[in-house]
Amino acid sequence: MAWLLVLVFLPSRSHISVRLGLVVFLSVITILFLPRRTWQDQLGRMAFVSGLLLLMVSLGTDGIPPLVQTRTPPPEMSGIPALPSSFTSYRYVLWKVGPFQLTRKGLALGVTTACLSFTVLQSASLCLSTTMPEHLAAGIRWYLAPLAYLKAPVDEIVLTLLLSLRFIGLVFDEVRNIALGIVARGVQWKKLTSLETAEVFFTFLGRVFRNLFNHSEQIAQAMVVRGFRGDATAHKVYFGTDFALKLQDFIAILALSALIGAGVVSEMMLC
Amino acid sequence: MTTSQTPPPSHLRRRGWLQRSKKREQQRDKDRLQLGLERAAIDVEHLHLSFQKDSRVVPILKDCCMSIPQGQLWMLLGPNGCGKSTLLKALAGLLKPTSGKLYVAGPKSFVFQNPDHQVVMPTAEADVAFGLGRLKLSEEEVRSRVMRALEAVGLADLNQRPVQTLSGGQKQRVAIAGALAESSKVLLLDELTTFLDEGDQMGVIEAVRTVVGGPHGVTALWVTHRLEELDYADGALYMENGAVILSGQVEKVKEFVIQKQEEYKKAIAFR
Repeated sequence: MAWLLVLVFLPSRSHISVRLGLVVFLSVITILFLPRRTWQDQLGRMAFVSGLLLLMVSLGTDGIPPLVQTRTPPPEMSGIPALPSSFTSYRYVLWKVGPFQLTRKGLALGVTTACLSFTVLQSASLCLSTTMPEHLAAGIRWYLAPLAYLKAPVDEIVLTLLLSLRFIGLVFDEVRNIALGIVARGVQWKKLTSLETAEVFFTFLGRVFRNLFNHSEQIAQAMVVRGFRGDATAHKVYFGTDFALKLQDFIAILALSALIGAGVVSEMMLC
Repeated sequence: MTTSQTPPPSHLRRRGWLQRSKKREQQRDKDRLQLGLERAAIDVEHLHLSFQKDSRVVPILKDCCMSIPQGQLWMLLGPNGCGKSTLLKALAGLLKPTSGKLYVAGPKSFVFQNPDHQVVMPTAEADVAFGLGRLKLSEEEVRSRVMRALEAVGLADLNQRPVQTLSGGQKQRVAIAGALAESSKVLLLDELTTFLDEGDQMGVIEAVRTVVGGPHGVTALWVTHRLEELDYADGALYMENGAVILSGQVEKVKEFVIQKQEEYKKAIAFR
């Protein structure tokens, strides 16, 4: 959980080299710890999303030059001596083709957006695929425990999280089944008017909700049979989580400290 | 659970009637013990259950009678809509009978047809432990009960597996383990093998067969449509039109069902 928090906040404050380093680091540990098919799928999607963001933001930032921006007159017109040759290698516009132009500002913003999106989404995805739901819930319960003194419904939040993690697949299955049902019926969408399309769409949407409510009722009944009476504080949820720190936990804490240190140093030295 | 055939007119008279009824039950238990007879795990006498629908009374169970001895696996058969699941829900206490007498040895557990409704936690061991939440047990006791229950259904190795990665049969076995962890004396099993392939079907039947009649004296009532499952039963019941019309030896019930099927085939052939 601490790792996840740091990976979400660190890229927003650190130098571009640290951001790129985090992307490489996350990619490497994803490849090392997840099965080939899973990491290929995850990294493929993330690379597509981040690449798209990089392209759009980089080219779009200065794509349309603001009209109010003053253009620097050539030195011979202003009477100011030309810049020394060593400075002339600096170019604000790095690349220009037709209406598209890549500027330093656009590149910096694009890289930041892409790195930030990759880090936030991939770290959350990695956390969900490598951590058991109960351990996540146990961690959240530990973090939220002080709020219980302020009458916050911590047990309800944790139980809701666990039920969500368990049944989110059921929701996707239901939507997929209904979608397959639509395909199997061979609805001729092109022949339908807008009103008829909306009618068919809302009929199937209604069906999805009806089925999901039916599932919910059955699940609620099963929970009642198993002794749950609607009060999460009275019904203890056992996680079987051992909170004692092991060697790998110490390694993880040390690595996290090193990462935070690198972020702080990069902020001071490189910016 | 005992309900009245003729409800008493006032609250006080009802209390007196219930006390007398309880005394009669105790006397009957004493008589059975003196005769060396054990009380049946499930005992149903003249049970009626009806629903109110648009100011119309719809009878579902009509004069149901049955008795299932302790430590045995009995199968309940019958056509769709004859009231099998309703009877099972009444035995579980999910539905209130209109009249008649009903006794089920406790603690009892209900296992639903669709394991996705029954298994509510994200991993196998967390789900088995879920039913223990109301019992206020120590962590060690919970862990030991969970492991014993998972061993009984042959899933000790999969204790930390996410539920969505389990097969339908494994999920059903997790559901059964949940019931066993609660030290249930009676298992009420509603068409457990409906969604399962042959391999999973066998796994579930064997898991139930292992726990029934074992050292814990578990009794099970299993609703099914599959005749081949009768081979694993100690006794069987056949329901039709809301009433148990045949009960006793498996062979007798099997013959009766086959005869019914033949009659149905002939009727179709004549059409």
